[in-house]
Amino acid sequence: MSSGNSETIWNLYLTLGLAAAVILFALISALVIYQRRFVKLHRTYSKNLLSAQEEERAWVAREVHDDALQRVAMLAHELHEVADEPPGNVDRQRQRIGAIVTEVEDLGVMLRRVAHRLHPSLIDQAGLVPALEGLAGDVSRAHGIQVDVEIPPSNAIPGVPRDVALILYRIAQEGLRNVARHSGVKRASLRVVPTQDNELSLEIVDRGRGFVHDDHPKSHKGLGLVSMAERARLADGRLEVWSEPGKGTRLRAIVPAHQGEVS
Amino acid sequence: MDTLPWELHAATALEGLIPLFVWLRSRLAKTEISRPRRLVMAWLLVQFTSDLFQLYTMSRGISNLWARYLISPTSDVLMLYALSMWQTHPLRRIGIRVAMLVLVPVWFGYAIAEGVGAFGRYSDPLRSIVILVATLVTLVGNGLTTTTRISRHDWFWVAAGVALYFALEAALGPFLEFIFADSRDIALRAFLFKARFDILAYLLIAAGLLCPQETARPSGTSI
Repeated sequence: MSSGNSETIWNLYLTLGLAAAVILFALISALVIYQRRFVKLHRTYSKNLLSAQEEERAWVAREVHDDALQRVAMLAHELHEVADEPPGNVDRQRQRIGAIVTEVEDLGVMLRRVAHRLHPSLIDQAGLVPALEGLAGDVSRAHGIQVDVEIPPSNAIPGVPRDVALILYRIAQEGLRNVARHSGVKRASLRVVPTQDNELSLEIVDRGRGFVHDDHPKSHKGLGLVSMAERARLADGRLEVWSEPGKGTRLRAIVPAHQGEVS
Repeated sequence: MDTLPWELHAATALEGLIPLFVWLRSRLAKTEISRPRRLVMAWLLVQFTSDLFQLYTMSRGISNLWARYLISPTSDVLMLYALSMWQTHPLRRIGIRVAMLVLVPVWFGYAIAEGVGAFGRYSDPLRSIVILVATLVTLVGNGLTTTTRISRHDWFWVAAGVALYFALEAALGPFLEFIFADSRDIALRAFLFKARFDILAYLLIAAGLLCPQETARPSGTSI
C-alpha cells in the first residue's frame, strides 16, 4: 500500500473517530443534563405535590367547617325550635319543616360538590365519556368557557379500565382548569379519539395566550403540566404539549386503552 | 459559468428559489412561518450565497477557500438548531444542541490542521456525519412517537432531504480522495451525480417547508 493511501486511510479513521467523539460527547452530555433536570423537576414536583395536598385538605376543612358545619348548626337550632314549638299551629310547622328540607337538600348538593372534587363518582357509575361530558359542562358553568366536546359514543371507545379513565379525567380537569386560568379565551375544545394502536388520545386545544414551553425545571412554576405528564406516565402513556405565545396551546395525552393495574 | 452543467445551476437556483417561494406563499396566505422552518430557509440562503460567491470567485480566478471558515459553521449551526427545535423529546433536543456547540470548535481545529488548501476533504465529512446522525435521530425519534401520518410532518421531509444531502456530502470527499484521486473525469461525474441528488434533496426540503403547519407549533413536547 502506498504512503498516500495509508495517509488517506488514517485521515478517514481520524474523521470517523472525531465524528464519533462529537456524537458520543453530545449523547453523554445530553444524558447528564437531562438527568439533572429530571431529578430537579421531580424534586420540585414532589414539593409542590405535598403543598397541593395540604391545600386540598385545607379546602375540604374550610368547606366543611365554614359551610357544612354552619348549616348543620343552623339545622340543629331550627329543629330544636320546631321541637319546642307548642302543638297546634300545623301550617307554621309545615312551613318550617319545608325550609329545613330545602336546607338539607342544599347541604347535600354542597357535600356532593366536595365529594366530586375529591373523587368523580360519575366515572364509576357511568364511565369515562359521561364523566368528561359532565366535566365540560361544569367548566362551562363555572368559568363561562364554551367547551366543544368531541367524544365518540361510549361503545366506540374500547373498554377503559377505571384507573386509566380516572387518569384521563384528571388530565382533562387540569387541562381545562389551565385554559380557564391562563388562556384568556372563552372557547376550548376537548377531544377523545381511539388511535389505531389501541390507545386513547385525549386532546385539549385553545387558541389563547399560549406560552414558551421548556423542559427546564425553572419554567415549571406550577404543578399543572408536570402533574399531567406524571399521570400520563403512570398509565404507561405520554403527554405532548404544543404551545407558542399568542398562538394557543394543544395538550395531548396518549394512554393505552386496555390496561390492568396502573403501574 | 455558462460551461457548467445544468445540474449545478439547478441546484443553486433551488437554494435561492425555495425560501423565496415559501416566504411569498406565507405572505399571500397571511400565515406565519414557524421558527425551525425559518432556520431551514436561512440555511438554504446561506448555501445559495455561498454557491454564488464560489461561482463568482471561480470565474475571476480568485481563491475562495477561506470562505468555508465562515460559511460552514454558520450553515451547520442553522441546520442543527432547526433540527433540535423539531425534537419531540428533550433528551434528543439537548443532545443536538450540545453536538452543535462541540462541532464548531472541533471542525475549526480539524480544518485548520488539514490546511487551507485541502478543500475540506476530511473536515467537511466530519460535519456532514454529525448532521446526518442528527437527521436520523430526528426521523427515528420523532417517527416512533408520532400518532399521525409521518408524511404530514414538516420535519419528516426536511430531515429526509437533509439526510440525503449530507450523506452524499460525507461520502464524496473521501471517495474521490481514496479511489479516484487521479481521475478528473470521474471526479466531475461524481460531482454531477451529487448535484442531481442535491436537487432531489432540495425538493424534499421544499415539500417539508410547504407542508400545512400545525395550529400551534411544537416548541417542546413529551414531558
